[in-house]
Amino acid sequence: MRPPDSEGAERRLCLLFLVLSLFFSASLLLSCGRGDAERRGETLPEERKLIVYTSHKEEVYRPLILEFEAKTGIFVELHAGGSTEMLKKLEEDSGYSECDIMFGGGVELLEADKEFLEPYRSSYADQIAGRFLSSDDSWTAFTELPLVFIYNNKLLSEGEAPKSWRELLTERWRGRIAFADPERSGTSYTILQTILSLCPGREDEALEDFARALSGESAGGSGEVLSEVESGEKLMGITLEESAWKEIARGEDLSLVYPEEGSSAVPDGVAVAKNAPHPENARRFVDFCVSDEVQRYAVDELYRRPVRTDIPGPGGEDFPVLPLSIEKMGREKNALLERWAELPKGGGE
Amino acid sequence: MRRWIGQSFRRELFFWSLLISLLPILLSDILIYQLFQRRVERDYRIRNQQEAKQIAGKLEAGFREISEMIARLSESDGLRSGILSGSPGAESYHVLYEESRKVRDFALVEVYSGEKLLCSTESGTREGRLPSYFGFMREALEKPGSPVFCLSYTGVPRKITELLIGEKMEDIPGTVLVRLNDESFSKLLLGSYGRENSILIVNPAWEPVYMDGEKAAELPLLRENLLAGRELMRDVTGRLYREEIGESGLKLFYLTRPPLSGEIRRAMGRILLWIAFFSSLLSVLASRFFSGYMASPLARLSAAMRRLRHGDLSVQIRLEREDEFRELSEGFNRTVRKLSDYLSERLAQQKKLNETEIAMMQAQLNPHFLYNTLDSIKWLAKREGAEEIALLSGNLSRILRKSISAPRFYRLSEELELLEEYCEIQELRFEGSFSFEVEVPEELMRARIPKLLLQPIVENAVIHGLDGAKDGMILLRALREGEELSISVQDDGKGMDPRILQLIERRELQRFTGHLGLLNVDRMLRLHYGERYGIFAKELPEGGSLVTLLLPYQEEREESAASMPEARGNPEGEERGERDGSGLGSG
Repeated sequence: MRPPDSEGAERRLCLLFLVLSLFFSASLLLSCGRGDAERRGETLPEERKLIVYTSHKEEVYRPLILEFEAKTGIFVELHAGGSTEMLKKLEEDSGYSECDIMFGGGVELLEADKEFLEPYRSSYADQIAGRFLSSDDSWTAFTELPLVFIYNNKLLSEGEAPKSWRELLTERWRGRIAFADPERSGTSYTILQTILSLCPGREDEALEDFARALSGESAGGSGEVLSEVESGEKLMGITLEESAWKEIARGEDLSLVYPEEGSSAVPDGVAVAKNAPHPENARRFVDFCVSDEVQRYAVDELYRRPVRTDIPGPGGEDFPVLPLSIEKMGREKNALLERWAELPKGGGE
Repeated sequence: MRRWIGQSFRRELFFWSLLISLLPILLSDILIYQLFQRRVERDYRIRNQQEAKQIAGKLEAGFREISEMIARLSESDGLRSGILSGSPGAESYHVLYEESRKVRDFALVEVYSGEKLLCSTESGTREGRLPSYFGFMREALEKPGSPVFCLSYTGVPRKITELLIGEKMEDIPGTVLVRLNDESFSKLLLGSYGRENSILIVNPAWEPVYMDGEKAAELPLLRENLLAGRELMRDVTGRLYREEIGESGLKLFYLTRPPLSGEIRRAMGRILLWIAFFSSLLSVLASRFFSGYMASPLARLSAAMRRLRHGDLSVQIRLEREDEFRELSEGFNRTVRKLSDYLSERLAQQKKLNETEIAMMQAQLNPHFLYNTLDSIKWLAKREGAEEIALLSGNLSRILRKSISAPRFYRLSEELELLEEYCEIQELRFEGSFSFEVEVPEELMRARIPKLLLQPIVENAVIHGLDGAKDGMILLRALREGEELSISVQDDGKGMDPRILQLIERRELQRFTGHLGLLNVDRMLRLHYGERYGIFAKELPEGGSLVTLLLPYQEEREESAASMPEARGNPEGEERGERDGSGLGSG
């Protein structure tokens, strides 16, 4: 009789063989091909990434992003949306270190949110006009954006067109002004501040008057302001010079008016987010935005005005600039919006 | 569960044969599917890689065409003069149209003098400027004489995405620019791939230049996954192939459908499932049959054993097998038969013993009346003064009493007394006289022997040996040899019939009915004490015969002897030699 040891060993060998063959077949079961691109590991090193939140339109940001990528080799992850939306995202995501750059939005909005921004003094700061500088470098101005009136040529002649801010508060234009909800549109907020700056000491009254002039109607966003005027729904609108020129370039039958009193020209800006995961690249982007090439491109191709003193402007009409304290605008934003929301908008909701 | 299987040999066989038959089938099932799938995938992959290469090749060919055209344009004097002068002239246009014949098929060609558009293959005059500090121009000016690939986007007045390919001439401020849009790529790649597949062309930053195909909408996910650090194919279905497009820095992604669509997989899966199901069924049935066939003889053996245990000795197994089971069953049968025989024999022996007992008892029963009557005769005779009658009846009465009394064994001394009385009777009957001598050592008087053991021997000696001769002698001796007692009765008569001697010697006494006494004694001894004991007889050379009884030596105890048949009579290596039945123990 065989000694028990060798019998046990034989059994174990059989078991091992069985287990191995099961394992082998299981591995066959699980593997499956996915094409050759899968097999190569693909990683992009962090130093080649940049996360940009933008409220600009595609015609503004895309050429700039492509150029930035081509020049620096950095891959840009872009998130686009309205200014309020993107600012809110900035507020949330900077906490998670998921945002590098806020590109766009009036600087008054950036000022209001400066606790979410990382101060950075761009390399071209010395060339930037004084009125476009942030007191603490929380943000950097990108382009100057004056407010203008627009009107539909088919509905109004040049003589009938609006000429001044004060005019807007009168009966003449009641219910005929295309104006976006300031909750949603930074431009509209700037418009309010502009009007208030013209009525020192009578701010509340002015606000009420304007509210009445709108008769409770406000457009959804600054884009709608343009379409309302184009369609004839409203006789006139208040918008950025840049937007107006673009529409005209697209063939719309609109005309621009620079208000008599002058116009505020609050720039839009770019800023580094707090806790940015790629701060080095973010700073490069800020510098890029105020670089020679981009400032010139903004003038030549984007109907904008540069913020740098050494870059020639579009050579269009000059206008008196109504100074607005950006800092003040930032500070007062919440309160003013609340006040505006409470106002009866005349003519029912 | 394991225990439940282990308790039945049939279940074990079933379980293991099921496993052995099922496992290979299922594994091969899966293996076949896997191998088939791999093979299909492999073939598919090779084909797709080819296609991807072809597509990239077509693009490269297009780019080469452009590059060659640019070379020709750069050398053309007509064009060069136009560039230098800053106004095109007919010559420039002519050259442009001539050299761009092929490229014009799919793209727009422009020549710039500095930043200004000099001439273009697009119909209609167009004012054009390309800023030298930005985009394509910037790159071209940085690398004169080298081709530049630049993805360009303008939104106003219309949204246009274009791939700009061009070169700044090395020595003069002229730049050739070729503009490709979606239509251009469509034309270049016409028929290179099926619509079920998708392609994506990207620039070095993975920004999309052109995409087309069924799954085109999923393609932007690739860039998203790259940036997020996820695996490239997350949420993208199909197989992805990648090619670099020459030296342009552009990449081609080719997304194809998986070779085995969900439907095909499911169909295959179903087939495999059916195969598995049927083979399992087959396995189960086969295993059942197999385990049943294999285990049935064992079950029958087991059942037979059980019946045997319950006392059925008639059980026999018939198997139609030729293998070891047959041996087992035959062995079993033989063993049972032997057991049965032995038990029958024992039963028979027991029965005979009982009969003997009964006979003895019966023999004891009747004489109660007899000896009482004999006593009466004795007293009557004595009254009448008939002394011989009184002696006859008195002795007879005593003899009878002794033999009636309960204990079946008594001392040798008592037997000798009885023999005396018997001999007295016989002497009276036969007018001749004979002497009855006893030579028994004192210590053997206590020997325990069955009642009336010696009487028939002595009778035999008197009747057949002496047979009326005068002055006969009967000598009784007792001798102890170790544990055996031998008692011999010798007479000096005419000797025994040689036939009877022979029968005694051969122990075939049952054949001869005449000598019942001897027969009884012999049988009784053998039954009680074993085969080794009994009667032995021989003729004496000096005349007469000697009959010897052999029995074990025992001493008479006080209590009455219940039957204690001495069992051990057969040490190993006995003369009789038969081992069947005789080696078994008794109760």
